Amino acid sequence: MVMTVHPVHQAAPFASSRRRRPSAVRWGWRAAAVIVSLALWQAATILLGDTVVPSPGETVVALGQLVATGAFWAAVGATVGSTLVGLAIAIVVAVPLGLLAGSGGFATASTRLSVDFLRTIPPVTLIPLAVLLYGPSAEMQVVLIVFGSVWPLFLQAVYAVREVDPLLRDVSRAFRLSRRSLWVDIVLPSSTPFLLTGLRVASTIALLLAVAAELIGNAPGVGREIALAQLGAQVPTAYAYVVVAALLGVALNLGVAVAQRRMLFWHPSVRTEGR
Amino acid sequence: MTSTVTHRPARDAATTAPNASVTAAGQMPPSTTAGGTRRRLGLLLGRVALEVWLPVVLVGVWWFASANSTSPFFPPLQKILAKTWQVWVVQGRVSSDLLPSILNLLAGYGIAVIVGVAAGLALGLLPRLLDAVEPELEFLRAVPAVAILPIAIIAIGLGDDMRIAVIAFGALWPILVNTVAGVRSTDPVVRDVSTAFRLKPAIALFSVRLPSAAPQILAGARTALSIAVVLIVVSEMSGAYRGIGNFVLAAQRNYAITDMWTGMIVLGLLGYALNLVFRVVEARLLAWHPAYRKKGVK
Repeated sequence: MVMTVHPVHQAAPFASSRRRRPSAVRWGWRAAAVIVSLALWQAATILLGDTVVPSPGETVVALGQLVATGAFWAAVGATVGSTLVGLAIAIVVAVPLGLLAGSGGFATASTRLSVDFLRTIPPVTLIPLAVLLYGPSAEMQVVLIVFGSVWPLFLQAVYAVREVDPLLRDVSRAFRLSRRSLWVDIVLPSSTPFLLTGLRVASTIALLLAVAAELIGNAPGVGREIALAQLGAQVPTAYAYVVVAALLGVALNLGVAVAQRRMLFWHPSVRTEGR
Repeated sequence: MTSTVTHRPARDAATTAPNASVTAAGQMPPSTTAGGTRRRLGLLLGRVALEVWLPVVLVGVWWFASANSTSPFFPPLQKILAKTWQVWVVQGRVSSDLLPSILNLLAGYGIAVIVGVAAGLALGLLPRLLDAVEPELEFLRAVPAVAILPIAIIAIGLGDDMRIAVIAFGALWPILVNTVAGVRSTDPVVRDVSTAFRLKPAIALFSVRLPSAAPQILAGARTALSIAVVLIVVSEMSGAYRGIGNFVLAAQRNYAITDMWTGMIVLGLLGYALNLVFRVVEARLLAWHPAYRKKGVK
C-alpha cells in the first residue's frame, strides 16, 4: 500500500438535515439560534471589553462604513479575483494530468511517489520564496493558490479514472467506441462527481491561501486589510473584514454546491438528496 | 497497458480468487522454487523501479541544474542539503524550533479532534438542534482560518496559546462537519437492529454510531491536519520569536536564502512525516472496516 488515493469523502455538509417540518416553526428555531449567537457575542464583549471583542453592533457599523469606500471593494475584488484565477489555473493543470496519471499502469505507478511527497508540502512554505520572486503581488498570491489547490483536484482525477465502471469500459470496447468517445462520453461524465468533490476541497484551500498570502506576503486584498486594521488598533474594522472573509467563504461554498447540483442533476447522489 | 500485471498484482489475482486477495499475489504454486523466487524478485525490482524513477530524475535534475547556479534565489541543492544538516541537526534547531511547532500543532489538533467529534456526535443525533444552528455553522466553517489570526493576536496575544487556539479553530470544522454527516448516514438497517436489540444508548452510540461514522470522521481529520499545518506555519510567520515558520520568514527577510531553503526542506519533510503517521493511525483505526480491508490491499 504505497499510496492509497483517498476518495475525499467530504460530506455535502448538512445537506440531508432538511426535514419536512412546518417552515414557520423551523424558521422560528433558526431565528432563536441567531439571537442566542448574537447574545453570546455580546456577552463576550462585556466579559473581555470592547477593545478586544467589539460588540455585534459596532462591527455592523464598521462594516457599513467600509461598504461605502472604494478601498473596501478593491480589496474584496483583489481577493476574489486571485482566488478564482488560481482555482481556474489549478483546474486546467490538474484535471487533464490527473486523468492521464490515473489511466493506469506506467503513468499511475511512476507519478505516485512524487505526487505523494509534493502534495504534503504545506503550501504556505512557499510564501517567502514566492515573495522573493514576485514581490507582494497578485502573481505571488496566484502561484501560491495554484500550488495548494492543484493536489485535491489531481488526486480526485486520478481516483475518478480508476473508478470508472469496468463494465462501461468493456461495453465501449465491444461497441468499438473511438478513443475520443470513450473519454468524452464515458470517462468524463463518470468522473464529474469526483472532480467536483476535489473542487470543493480545492476552493476552501484556495481562499485560505489567498488570505494567507495577503496576511503574510502583503498582497493586496481582504487579508492585508485585516492585518492593517489590527496594527492600527481599529478593532471593529478588523472584525468587519473577518466577517467579509467568512461571507466570501460562504459564497464560494454555495457556488460549488450550485455547480454540483447543476452538473450532477443526473447522478443518483443528487437525485436522492432532493427527497 | 502491459505493465498492469506488475503494477497491481493483488487486484489481478483477486479477479480469479476474490476471497484470497491478501495472499493471492504472493502465493506461487509450491512446485516453483528457485525460478519462482527469482521471478518474484524480478517483479519486485521492476515495480520498485517503476515507482522510483521519476522522483530520482526530478531530484537529479534539480541537483545538476542548480549545481553551478549563481542565482541568489536558487542556490545549489548540494549546498542546501549540507546547510540543512548543519542548521537543523548540528546547531540543534530541531529541538529549539521544530519541536515547539510540532507540540503546538498537536495540542491544537487534539483539541479540534475532541471537540469536533463530540459536537459532531451531538449535532448528528439531535437533528432539530442541527437544523436550528445550521446557518451559524455554515458561516463559521466558511471563515478562512488564517483570517482570525489578527483577531486572535488582539484577544490572546503572541504566545503559544494563541497559536493553539487558532489551530484548534481552523481544524475543528472539517472534523465536525464530517462527524455530523457520518453519524447521520449510519445504515438504517444497522440502526434498526440496534434498536431491536434494545442496546443501551451509550453502547449504541459508542459501539454502533461512532464506528460506522469512523471512515468519514477520519477523512475530515485528514483535511483538518493539512489545515492545521498551514495554520501553525502562518501563525509563526506573523509575530513569533521561534518556531519553524518564524525561522523561514526571518531567513527570507535577512536575505539568508540558503537558510530559507533549509526551512522549506524541513517543512516538506514534516508534512510528509505527519501524513505517514496519519496513514498508520487511520489503517489501525479502520482495520475492521470491510471497505478499508478491501482497499488496503491494493
